[in-house]
Amino acid sequence: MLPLPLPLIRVLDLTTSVAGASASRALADFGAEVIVVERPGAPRDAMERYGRNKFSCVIDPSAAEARDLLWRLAATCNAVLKDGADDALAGLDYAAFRAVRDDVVLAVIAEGGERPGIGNVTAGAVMTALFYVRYRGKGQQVTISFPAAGTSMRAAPVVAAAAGAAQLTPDLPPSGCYACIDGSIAVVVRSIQELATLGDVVGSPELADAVTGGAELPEAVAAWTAERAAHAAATELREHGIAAQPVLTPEALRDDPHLRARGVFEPVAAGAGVIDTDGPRIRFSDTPLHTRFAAPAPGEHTGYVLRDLIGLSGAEIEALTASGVVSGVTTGAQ
Amino acid sequence: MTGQAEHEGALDSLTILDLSEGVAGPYAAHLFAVYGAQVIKVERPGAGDASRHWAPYAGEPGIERSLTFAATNAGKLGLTLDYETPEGAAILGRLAEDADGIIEDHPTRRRDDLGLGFDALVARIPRLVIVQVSGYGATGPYSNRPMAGLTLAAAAGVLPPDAEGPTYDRGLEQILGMNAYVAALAGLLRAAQTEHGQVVDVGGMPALASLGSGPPPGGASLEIDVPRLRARHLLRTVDHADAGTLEYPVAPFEMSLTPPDALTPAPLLGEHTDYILTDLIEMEAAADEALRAKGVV
Repeated sequence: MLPLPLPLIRVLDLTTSVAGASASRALADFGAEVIVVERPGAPRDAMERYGRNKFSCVIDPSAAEARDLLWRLAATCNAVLKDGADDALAGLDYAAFRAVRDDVVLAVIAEGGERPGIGNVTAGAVMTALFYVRYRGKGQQVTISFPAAGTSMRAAPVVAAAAGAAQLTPDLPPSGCYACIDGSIAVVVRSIQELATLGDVVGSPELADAVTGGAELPEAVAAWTAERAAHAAATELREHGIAAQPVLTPEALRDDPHLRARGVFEPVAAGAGVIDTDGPRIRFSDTPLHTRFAAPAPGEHTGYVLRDLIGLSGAEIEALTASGVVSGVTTGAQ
Repeated sequence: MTGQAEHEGALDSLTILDLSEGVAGPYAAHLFAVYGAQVIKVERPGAGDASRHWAPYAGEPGIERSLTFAATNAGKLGLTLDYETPEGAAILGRLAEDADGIIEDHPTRRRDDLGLGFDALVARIPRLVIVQVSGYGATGPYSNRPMAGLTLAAAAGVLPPDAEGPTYDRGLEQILGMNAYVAALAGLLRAAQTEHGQVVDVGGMPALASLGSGPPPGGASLEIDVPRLRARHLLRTVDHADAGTLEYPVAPFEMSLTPPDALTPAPLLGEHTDYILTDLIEMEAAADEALRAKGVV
């Protein structure tokens, strides 16, 4: 098996949010060993959607005996993910994690846990901190919240708006979506040169006025696209160096030749039918990412976690299972 | 060091060469600068990054006043270099020897015949991670299509199928840039462990395409409530020599031990060329002047 980018990193995922599940999926895809602590009987929507390449152990964090398990587990992990607003994890703060592992990275998703996009930011925050661990040996807390992340990810229009600019994006007025014979296309022009080219292509060079940014041009573009099929119109514009793209539906994406060639959606047998699953989307030339295994069953790895990582005895695991603190381990008593 | 660092940044052990233009690649490289890496922005002499020629501007149009360029290039050192010439290629190769990663969006500008192909670079610099940011990815039938936010939205299935008129693209280029930052970190962490670099191919359409529940109704709008952002302390000011005082978003995430430092402004075109050639790669002053005369830097 080919190596993965992060084979020596173990991550403890205590989150129940979509952002947390998305963050730990990114880290799992990169090769980290991600251990998700699932709560007994809790909904599994996030695990089903984001659970590939992860391990599952079921521990009830509100049980008195669970804290000792979580500390011992955290001591084996390079990074811990948690949601900021999670009453079941009260007291599990950075100082407490640091007490069991000096160089631990704690990622706290403080706001925006319902947004999958925050997961990517969280994965980035964890790896940024892991760099510092690598070079200076020191862990820290990283805190991710949607207002800051969302504002940063709109830096270009935010800087423009704060400077009082009337136009917030570089897209000049003819940029937008245009109806074609079948569907529509998106067209973007950003420079005066591209504007002039677009004017020429649609046969109205006099409307490609640099002073107005081509504000008069959209009607001419619309008339031009209305007589063409979306694919042909976009192709012709691209041949002149203009960014143009048919507007694709999710249905069209499933069969799109480019995405098929990239292996983005793969048909996988499921029950009586076939479903499209998506694999990792980024291509690493030397350490290709892939779905090593599908989302685990609840507690599929509880035994591995309790026996191999924490070092509990069979009798201890049986007692914890009997009292409902953990589940997923088949013991002699069952 | 980038000059502004007064305390350690999380990524201060890293040097990144930013060869990219537009929004996605530059934003990824900007994030490295935000968290302490030394980032060298390499631009073509004369024209510079394409985004320098894009409205909106801070005041009159001009290559130092593009707000898109300013927003996505703060914190970097600026070098002008035509690395499609033998002399320029030699300088880029020398810079790459001290670098950990390259972020690029025009891979063919690194000419194989001038020793800048991946195989030649990786033979010289085994740990080098080359991150290629593009609208569609480096392979596949659409790989040469140009990138723009709205066309990316159209390709990713996040626009209504009957979309018409001007519409905001949900900032997909910067979201792609964040994807590239995250992927680059994974490649760089592995290179730090193993001394093995690689090419990381981050394509917008494959990265962002969604079969999910379809496009949200109503199309996205671009509303930015600046007073509210100020009141919530989500903006910070950066003084720029030509564009004036600009307000930037705060860093996307907080770090308790290595908080992001104050940002330096986006570099003027070629602002740090002398510093980079003389101090970083210790080129003779006479050679520097000869390169200027030939238009290489």
